Amino acid sequence: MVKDKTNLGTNAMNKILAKPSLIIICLTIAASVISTVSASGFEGDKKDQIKMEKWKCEYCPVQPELQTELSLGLGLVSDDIYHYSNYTGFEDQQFFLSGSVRMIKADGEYWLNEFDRIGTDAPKFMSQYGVQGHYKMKLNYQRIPVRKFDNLITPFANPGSNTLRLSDNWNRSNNTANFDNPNNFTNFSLGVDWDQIGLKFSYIDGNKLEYFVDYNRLDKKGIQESSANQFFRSNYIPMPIDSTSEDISARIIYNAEQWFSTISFRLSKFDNAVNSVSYASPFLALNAGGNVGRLSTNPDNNAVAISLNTRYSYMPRSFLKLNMSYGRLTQDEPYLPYTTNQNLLTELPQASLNGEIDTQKLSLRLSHWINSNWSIRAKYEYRDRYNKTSMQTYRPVITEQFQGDSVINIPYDLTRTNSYAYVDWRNKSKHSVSFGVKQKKLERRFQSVRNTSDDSFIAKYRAMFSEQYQLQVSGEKSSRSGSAPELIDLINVSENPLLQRFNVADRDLAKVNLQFTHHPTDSLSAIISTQYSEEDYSDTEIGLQYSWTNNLNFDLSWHVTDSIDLGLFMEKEKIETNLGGSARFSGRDWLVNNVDKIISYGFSFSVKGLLDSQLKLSGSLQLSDADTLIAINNAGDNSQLPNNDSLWGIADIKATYRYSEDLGFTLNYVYQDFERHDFAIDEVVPGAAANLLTFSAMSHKYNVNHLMLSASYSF
Amino acid sequence: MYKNTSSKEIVIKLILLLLISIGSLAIFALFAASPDTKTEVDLLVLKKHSDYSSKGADTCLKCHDEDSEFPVLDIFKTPHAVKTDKRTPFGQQQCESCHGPAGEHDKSRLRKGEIRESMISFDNKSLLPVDQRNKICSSCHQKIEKSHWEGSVHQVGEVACNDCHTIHTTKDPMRSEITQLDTCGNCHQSHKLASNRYSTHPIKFGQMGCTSCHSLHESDNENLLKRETSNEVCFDCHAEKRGPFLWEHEPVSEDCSLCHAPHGSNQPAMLTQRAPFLCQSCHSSQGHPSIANDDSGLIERRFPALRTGSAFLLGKACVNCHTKVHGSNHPSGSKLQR
Repeated sequence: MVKDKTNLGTNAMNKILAKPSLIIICLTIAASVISTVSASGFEGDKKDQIKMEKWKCEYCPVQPELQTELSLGLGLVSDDIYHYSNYTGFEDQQFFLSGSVRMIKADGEYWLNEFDRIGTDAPKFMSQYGVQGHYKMKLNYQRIPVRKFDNLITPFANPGSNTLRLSDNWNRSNNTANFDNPNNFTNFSLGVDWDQIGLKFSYIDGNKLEYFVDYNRLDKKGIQESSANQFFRSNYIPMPIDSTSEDISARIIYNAEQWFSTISFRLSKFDNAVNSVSYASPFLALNAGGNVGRLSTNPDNNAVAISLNTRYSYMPRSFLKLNMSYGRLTQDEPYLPYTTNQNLLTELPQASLNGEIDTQKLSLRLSHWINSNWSIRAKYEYRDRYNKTSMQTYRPVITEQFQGDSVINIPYDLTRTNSYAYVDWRNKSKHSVSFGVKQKKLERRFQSVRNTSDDSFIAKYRAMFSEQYQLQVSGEKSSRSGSAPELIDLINVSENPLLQRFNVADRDLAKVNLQFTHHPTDSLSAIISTQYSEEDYSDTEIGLQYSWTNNLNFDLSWHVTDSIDLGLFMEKEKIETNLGGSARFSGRDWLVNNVDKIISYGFSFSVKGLLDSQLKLSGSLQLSDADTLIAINNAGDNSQLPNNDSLWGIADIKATYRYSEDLGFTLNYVYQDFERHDFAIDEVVPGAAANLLTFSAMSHKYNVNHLMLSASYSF
Repeated sequence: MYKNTSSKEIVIKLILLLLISIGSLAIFALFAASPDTKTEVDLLVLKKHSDYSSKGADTCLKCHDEDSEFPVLDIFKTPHAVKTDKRTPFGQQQCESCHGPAGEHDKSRLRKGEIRESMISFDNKSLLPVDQRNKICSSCHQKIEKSHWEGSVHQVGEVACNDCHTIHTTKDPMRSEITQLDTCGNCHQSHKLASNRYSTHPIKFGQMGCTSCHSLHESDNENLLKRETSNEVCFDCHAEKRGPFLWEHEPVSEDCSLCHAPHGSNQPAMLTQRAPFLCQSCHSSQGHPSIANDDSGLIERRFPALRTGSAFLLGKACVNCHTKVHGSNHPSGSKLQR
């Protein structure tokens, strides 16, 4: 059965226009009651009596118009560790350049340039020019190197190509244990470089109008991990990545006494230079045509959105705010054929998806100060994701070898209605209390549980008992209920009727946060915080049943003297979940308990003023230990999977020596020790699993000594 | 191994007891003799009617120089000190734009026992409440105050501008991505901790900061995200997941954070839980989706001839085959396999 969606768009708009919020109406009426608010802002009465001609600012330090600081450095890494350069760009020995060139004129014209790690794999550059108070132009660039693994193996002779061919001597088999000749594999590394460029322009027109234009571009190039299956046999694919995302937005802000409005337009485009990847299967085909396969890649897509925000202040600190936006996502990439297998090729229902999703949003906010102690806040928000993509019947071909059953594509839709109302009280003794209620409703089309509603009650208390003691406590109690599950004719996979998906299942949520800050002296500060949250899916027999999170954090800062600062922290968190399942398609017969733990602690110090105030020393030591423990009870038998853990230690010492006002030297030593164990990756070599051919990655285990020497000169 | 219900109840009771104790203490504090607030009101009234200094910043800098306990001179390297921009403090009443008229503060000699008149300060010992301090900042930074600050989570939480920003410094730590985590982490300690997990965004290394996803002053979003929804924020960098796709995966279209922990996770790809267990939270059809993936799926090392590793547990588990987990545009990709 194919549902008619032609009227859904009109219905959606009618809902936006005709859906009153009782909360907003009541509070608006309440806000119209006469109320007093103490005067806000600060200006002295005698401002007009100032004799500005005597305010010459003779003691004000005069900044040179042009200031340049250049720093040339050399980085020495003890071992060529691929993963160490992940995000950092540091690999092996290399020179790098950092620095800044700043020009600031007295009339407000300025040109700022900053560059960092030029010469490494993670360079960064920013240039900003403008006249303060009038206009500004900014260019920024950075590269983020994502370095996953090296020394990987693949049966493909040309990893990273979009037509992957097997190495010349490759012998197909049904069992990976027979892929035992290392000469038939090619070595390669997994990583993608992200290049980000941004251009911004802003202009201030008088006091009321400001204009902004932003352009951002993100290029990704490299090889990413993917996989292909040949009917319960899977082999990893070194997927080529070559894509560009571009985003351009324009905004106008109007700022008047009581009105503040923003109108903005945004266009975003994703282009993928790789529209498919063909590969020769390393496994023996079960049927004719199964020796090759073809994967689709992420299709080109576009998004456009226009939005209006407007705020009206009817009295000081009180306002009504309206936010409206309309957007559209589109995708119309030409389809690949069903299969590369000519024996099974049939006609497609259409040449491309012509996918279109409209998004709409309307929100109303009220913030009203009844007097200097009491205020109320309320919000109503309506958001709709209307998927206008047509529904067609397709005849998929499974792994290029078997004709599958006909399937209809399902364009999922969502409508969200969120609202909240809070009452806030505060007094000048620095206590404040907030009580609020919140409701989130979701209507999902084409999903088994159509409607859910989350109702929450929230309370917060904050107190500053004195300069030395501060306390914050908050809690939330929430209950979710959903409509009865329905059978969706379009979905031809039957789930266990006892299954309740965690995002729609009935759930009780409780959260408590507590933070205590103590300043025993001006130079000592301690913060301790703890959080506890618990999600109880009490009605769920199959699916997520229980989840709880607890963390404890401690932070100490000590300004020992004017020259010495010390810091200490300890943080730990534990997340535990229970998941129930059934292998018999009936009641629960297995249960998985998953525990995620992390503890992180560290120490930092800084000492200034050594050697006649020319030397500054700083350093830190940090250790993070994370574990995942998975235990399974399967029909009464208990077992435990090996721990997945990672241990990360970083020690960092930095010495900065100011030889003269213009010349300085920095010596920075970093020691990093990283070790991870992951049973799902480690030793999963050819033959470890008969039907799984991975890249034979091994979890990282390394330690690195990294020394950076730099000299900086200012002129 | 499994959650002990009785210990859970004990924890809940302890927390409730703690809350009740704190609540009682708070109520007592409210009705007990409160700290003298007369000083705050007096300072505002005093400064309102005070005389401005005779020489502006030159008056202040005679004492507040490079040797003073709180260094102030670095403000002259910042946009706040550009005199030709009439919006800035030094384009108006200089130091007294923010700290109020000097009044008697600059009196050169004090009588015995006399206390120097206070100025408006922006630290934790300030005599002004948070909203009054913030009002001074927002009297110039109106755009921030008007767009979304008032009524926002931070404003209601009594966060002062100076809690995050440092003005008398060349580089405000909040304006640099590499130092944002430390500042935000003072309150959001658990999120700072998450950046130490195995799989994270590049926040610790400075390629991203908290403001890459969050708009800390102004947002219509409850979590102070830069965009309308969490998905839209993710699509800024991960536009390849935006779709629409021919074959959609419904949790992807609803909310990325149903499966991913954006602040960091112990699992690869920042998943909240590893596959197959994450997938089995929603999938339980007959056959392999609903089997118990216990240790029988591990590689049997004791008997190398019996390699019994299961592709349902090892590698990427479900994603070994269902690789297009975010959606597929292949006409034969209805099971998200290609």
